[in-house]
Amino acid sequence: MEPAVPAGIRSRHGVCVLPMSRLQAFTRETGMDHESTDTSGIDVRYVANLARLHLTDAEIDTFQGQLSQIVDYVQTINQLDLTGIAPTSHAHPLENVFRADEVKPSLDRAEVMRNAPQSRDGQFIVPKIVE
Amino acid sequence: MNYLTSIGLEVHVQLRTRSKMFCGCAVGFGAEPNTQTCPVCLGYPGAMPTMNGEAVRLTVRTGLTIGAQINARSKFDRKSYFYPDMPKNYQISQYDQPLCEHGSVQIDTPAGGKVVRIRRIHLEEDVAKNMHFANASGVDFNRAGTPLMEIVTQPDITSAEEAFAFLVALKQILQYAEVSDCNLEEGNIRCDVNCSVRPEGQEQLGTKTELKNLNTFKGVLNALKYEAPRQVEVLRRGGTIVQETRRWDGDAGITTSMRTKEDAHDYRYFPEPDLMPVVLAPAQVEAWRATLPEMPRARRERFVSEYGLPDYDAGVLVADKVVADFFEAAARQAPNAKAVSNWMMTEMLRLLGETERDIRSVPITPQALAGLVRLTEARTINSNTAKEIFAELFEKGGDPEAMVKQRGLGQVSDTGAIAALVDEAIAENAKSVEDYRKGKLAAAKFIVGQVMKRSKGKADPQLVTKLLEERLAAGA
Ligand SMILES: [Zn+2]
Repeated sequence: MEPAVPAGIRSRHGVCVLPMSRLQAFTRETGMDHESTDTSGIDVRYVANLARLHLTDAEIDTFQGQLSQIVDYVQTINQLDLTGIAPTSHAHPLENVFRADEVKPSLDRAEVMRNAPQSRDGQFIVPKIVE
Repeated sequence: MNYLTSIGLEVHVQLRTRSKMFCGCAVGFGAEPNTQTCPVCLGYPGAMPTMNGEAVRLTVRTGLTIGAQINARSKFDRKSYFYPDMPKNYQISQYDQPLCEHGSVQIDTPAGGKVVRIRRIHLEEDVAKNMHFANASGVDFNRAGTPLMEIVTQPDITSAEEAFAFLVALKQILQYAEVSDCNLEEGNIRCDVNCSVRPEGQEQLGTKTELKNLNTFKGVLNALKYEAPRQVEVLRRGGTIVQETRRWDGDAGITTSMRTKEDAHDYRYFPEPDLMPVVLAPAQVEAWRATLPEMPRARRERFVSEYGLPDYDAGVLVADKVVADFFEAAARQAPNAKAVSNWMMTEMLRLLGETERDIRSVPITPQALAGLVRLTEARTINSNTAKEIFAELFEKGGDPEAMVKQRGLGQVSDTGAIAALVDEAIAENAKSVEDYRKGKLAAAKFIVGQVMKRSKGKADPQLVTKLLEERLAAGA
């Protein structure tokens, strides 16, 4: 069993998806644009493979350094005494946000299919799936 | 050397809701592809999920029926993976804080009752359906986002037959609790199976294989009947079991390797930022507990104690909730519950089986069956007439008491009239009378038959036999 919140920064694709320009600006502003030793535990090559991202060796080097810096920065929180504080995944103290079980109109299929690169018989067509 | 088998099941059950888990699209089987979709269930960036409260209630209700602990705090997580059935590249599921944990389901085995422990029940969204063409695959998102409850057992199951018995018992519970339609043909229940074997005496479980996406109980039974002996055979020949996912090929009757642990998924679970946690107050859980219906095992025991049914009969009747409801509605209006049960066990289930019909779709009502039992108990009609009336009620419905009155089907119990017929039959069957007197007791049956014929089947056969025996004994 892996921990629920593994160390590292995650997004939908498993790695940080800040645009390069924003990332560079961020590291400059925070004084993080210097070489650092990697203490993040992120394996960019492995994570990129999981996320089906094809990165060159140069990109892997760059991201490894940048991500390590970001994680190092976030880890400054560990300087505080966090005993007895439960991991937080939401900033808002909201709970039980439910919707009633009611049917709402769906989208018109012709509208949906306008976004399909290819379609047939009302279905999205994708490259043949081989298990 | 003997080998022990350990089986754990992950059962995915589609919940009975009108709308999807995180959007208002309708849940339904058989609609035209991609007509029940919206930005949320199509996985559009920026679309926000909102939780269907009814799906949470149904999952907790299931947990309560199997005596599970309902977690006061529960949350949703993203399970990352890449496959064309999931455009978000993650499925919303529950990882470390599921809604329910630690329940159990009782099953019947040839060796007696047995408890299968339930590890957890969590809630998640179903994925899209893929169809395969010659050179491409199609994706239909109607099913994507349907509320799915995943029930995970401990590896307590020790044979293919026990796995089957567990699924049957679980389905009964889900039907009684009315949390799922349990329609297997529409894929309402799908199963992943973990199976391992180990030499007798060894504590630690052997290396397991996983069989994915079995959608019939028979499929689970047959796949395990193949897979467990396959593993034993590998070990007997000195080989080792590889941890892997295997596919069940029902036509060939074998399992084949799909992927090994080396390329197993790394799901990278993390908390779903778009959904708030579920916090269940004890008062809420208790209010839901108070609405639980009687479960099949309790009902079976009650049928034995309240209606005096044999345990076997009670088990057959409660197996299908609607059949049990029918029986009970009839039994409450009939003078003899056991007689109602006999009709259910014999004619009703036989005709339902032969015509492949559901008890909800046949015209016979519990009131009609109770009426039929009143007629036979009062000996107004004999059993042959009753069977004919039952067949007619099954086909066309109607009121048996009115039918008997209108058609004059009532049994003749008039002693004088029957005695006259008995005398006629004795006079005309001298040979049989002689045989009877010589000790051939079966000859009396023949004469009874003759009397019944004369009465056009309406005489009370017990009365005929009694009168005939009296007369033959008297030397008439
Ligand atoms: Zn939708």
